[in-house]
Amino acid sequence: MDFSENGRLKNMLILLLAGAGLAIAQFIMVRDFVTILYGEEVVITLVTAAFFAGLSIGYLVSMRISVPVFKALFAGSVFLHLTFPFSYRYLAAWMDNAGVKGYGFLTLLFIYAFIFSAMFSAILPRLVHTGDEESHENNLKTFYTAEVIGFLIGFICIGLTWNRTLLPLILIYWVIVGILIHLILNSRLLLAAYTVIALTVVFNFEQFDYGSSSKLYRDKHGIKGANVLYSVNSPYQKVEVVKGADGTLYLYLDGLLNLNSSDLKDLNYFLAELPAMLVKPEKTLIVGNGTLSSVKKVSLYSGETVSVELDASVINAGYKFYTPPEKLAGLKNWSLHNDDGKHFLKKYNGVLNLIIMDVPSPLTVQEAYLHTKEFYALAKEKLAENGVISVQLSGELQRNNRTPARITAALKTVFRDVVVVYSPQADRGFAYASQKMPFSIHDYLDIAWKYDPKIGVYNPKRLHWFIEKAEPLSVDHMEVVLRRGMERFMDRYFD
Amino acid sequence: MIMKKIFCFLTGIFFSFMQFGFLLSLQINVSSTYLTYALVTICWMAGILAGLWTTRFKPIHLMLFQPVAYFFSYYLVTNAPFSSFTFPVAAIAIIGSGMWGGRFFPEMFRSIQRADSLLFHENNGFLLGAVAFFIGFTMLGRPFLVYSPLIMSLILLCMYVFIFNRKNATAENASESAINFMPDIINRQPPEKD
Repeated sequence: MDFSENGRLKNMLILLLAGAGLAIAQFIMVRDFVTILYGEEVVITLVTAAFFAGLSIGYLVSMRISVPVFKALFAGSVFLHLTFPFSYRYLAAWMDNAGVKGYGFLTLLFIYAFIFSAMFSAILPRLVHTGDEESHENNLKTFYTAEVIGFLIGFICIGLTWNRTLLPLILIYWVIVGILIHLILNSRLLLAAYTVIALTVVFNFEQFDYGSSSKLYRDKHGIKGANVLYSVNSPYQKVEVVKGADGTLYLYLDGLLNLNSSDLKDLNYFLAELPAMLVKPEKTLIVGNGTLSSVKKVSLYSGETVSVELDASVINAGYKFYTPPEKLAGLKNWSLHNDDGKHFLKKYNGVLNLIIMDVPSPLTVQEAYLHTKEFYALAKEKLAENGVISVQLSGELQRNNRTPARITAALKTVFRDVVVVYSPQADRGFAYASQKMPFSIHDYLDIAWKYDPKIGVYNPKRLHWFIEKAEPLSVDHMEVVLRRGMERFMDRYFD
Repeated sequence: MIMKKIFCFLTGIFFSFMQFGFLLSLQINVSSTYLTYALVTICWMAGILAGLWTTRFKPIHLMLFQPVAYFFSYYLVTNAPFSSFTFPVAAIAIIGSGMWGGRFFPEMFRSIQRADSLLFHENNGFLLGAVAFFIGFTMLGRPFLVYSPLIMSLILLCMYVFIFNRKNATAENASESAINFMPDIINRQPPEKD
């Protein structure tokens, strides 16, 4: 049966479902491949480009293949869809074990992009060219309308399943594909086979989903005995908590290690607890820190503590694995807001004494924004004159134009006093900036030495020497996102 | 035909710049929450749907409206990010901009006649635009948000006028020649028989 034999309504329904399938396929593919290849902005762009390349291949071949070939490819493709998201995770783990490098992973990405998207994109051009020639333009308008409406429906389905496991969304996706099998292939046998396999996978979904992710973390990330305990898609990223054989908990965001248990302890100390101890703030704002692990420590020294975290899924992971709600139940001077830190700060009317920037390194544009001089200028507006902003530098400050120097330069552009330290124990630098620093370096070291005897403080009078080659990180100069992302990607896959 | 395909390809780049431009200008100035992303996606799609079926505006008007709406929205989110009318006005601007995104396809289909070719070239442009936008924005920041849509819209307007006016002019010349020739034909009619 050709499309031209279908009624107009049936063809519209096919396009509606194809549109919804495309929206969901794009979401699942981008999230999963970004996680497999590790989620810097460079990788996000690459995976998105691969998806669109798959669409282009679908458009290219749509009119060049016969109906039987189209049907055969469609049938093969839908059954491959039932292996998502496990097959490419197992393949990626296997490839890593086999020592396959960059081009192998890029091939994997583009093959799956083709399977994910070409099947859907090849339908529209074929349907437009049904009927007599005069009706083609109207076909385009009608069927493209159906596809766009379908895409919106798919987008809404994604929205409804945010902050949940993948199962509800994949279930919707497989139902859509199942109906398409019926409408396009019109084969009861294929539909029955598809349904049986789909139901078998659905009933064992968690085992496959967590099993394939755990294998990826064991083989590709090298975590011994890795076991995925939590895996959800938030509106912003894939949030996963992985437990190693030694009991260490790892928080992964889009496949990038955000922190592990021991990092967390050091990070919380230098970024949050120590400055709170020294400033003794009336009001503290903690930006990020979705694990909520520094809240209790800061609250001991702060009159009022406000946490703002963008991602509700990270907060849920925090409650579940790092800071159980009962630990924070007694805190009367603490409030939690689910918002973008920049938006929250812009709307905030009070005066702050301490801002703790517990956010990831600038590997995506959104993360980089929180390290820019524009953001620091906004923070200065909301801080008291002797208020302090505490920032982690994602490495050791050196005399160059790399991330720690660029963040420090951005702080120095905005604030009069900037203190920079390096903790070998935490394996990173920290910066504290203020218009009028309320503590001295001696005060700082008196306490910090007890925690890390090897901690070093950069001489404030010599700080300009370290940052004179550094371009302050700003909204108009975020090339660090591109450069750092490319370096990491190349080191990982092409070194 | 090759010029028309290039036009489709460049339009794809432009659509990419517009969508990401709206998104980034809102994210930088107002908020990075998912509502911003949802607003841009849904409004652009609504604009496409409106553009597919509306015939009240000429293509050139929709093409001109796109950058005007974009820069109006950009000005607004930059200067009054938290005004109560910023989001609704930005939403209207995105819908208005998306209208050419919808009208573009039937309009170009009339010329290209093949849906696969039209979608292929536009999609390739969108793909390249997404990559170029990321590189351009990280390297140049806000100036890229301003100049890239401006330059692309000027190029596309010039191309549109060149391609389609030339086509119209050629058609007009052809009909003028035919009209000029007609009296001669009439004059050469065989004389009526007595």
